[in-house]
Amino acid sequence: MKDRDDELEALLAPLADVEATPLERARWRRALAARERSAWNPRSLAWGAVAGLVVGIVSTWIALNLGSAPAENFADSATIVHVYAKAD
Amino acid sequence: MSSRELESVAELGPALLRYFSAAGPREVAADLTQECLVRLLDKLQAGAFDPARGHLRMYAYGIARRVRLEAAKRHFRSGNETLGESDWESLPDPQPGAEARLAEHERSRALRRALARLPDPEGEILRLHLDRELGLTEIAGILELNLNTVKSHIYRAKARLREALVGENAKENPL
Repeated sequence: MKDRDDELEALLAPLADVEATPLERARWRRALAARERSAWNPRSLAWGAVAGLVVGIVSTWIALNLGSAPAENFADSATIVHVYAKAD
Repeated sequence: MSSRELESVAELGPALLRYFSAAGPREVAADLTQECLVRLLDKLQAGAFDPARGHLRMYAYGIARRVRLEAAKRHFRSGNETLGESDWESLPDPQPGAEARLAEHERSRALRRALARLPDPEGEILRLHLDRELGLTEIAGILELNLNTVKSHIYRAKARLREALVGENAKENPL
């Protein structure tokens, strides 16, 4: 049971019957949904992190297995370092 | 945020509308309700609300108070000479047929005028009392006042409100 002032409640009764119209309720819901979509909430951050990880893994795999240039370049630079080391 | 949590925020709309309607025209009240709901959502998403410190409804009214005061300030800055609830209350309601509807609810209009003239925290306590879900203890919590202080404010506010309503009736029905 709420601790209320019954006399005050009766006095304010004419102001208490203000009801929101379905149009107003729909407008508020739309505004909230739009705000939630635009916000950086933890869920969207988590999905962003997962998507970033997947893209990273896939592009690394492509670079190592399908693209020969990066691996050769790596081998070349290793050889150069080895040659310089020998020369010293 | 889950759709259920989003729904719990949206469900506060009608109560907030009553709160804002007690201080100003319906059209403005609906806009302020939306502003308040969006701010509440932002706070929830930022993790600013701690359920251990009180109910979501109480937290929402804390935001509603700030929104209302900011609206009153904006109204004052827009070129009105005097600052007060009565000025905001006197804004025209642009909805069609507003005058006819207001004429039908003359008593609530007079009551709103009388309520607008009450100084804070009395006016604020009465506006919060429009929400049947809030008890006096919760109202005291929102306003950070002692429960007995709230009760004494209500006692004075009731007397002022009755006095103002008698005055309004005398103006409307002169002998």
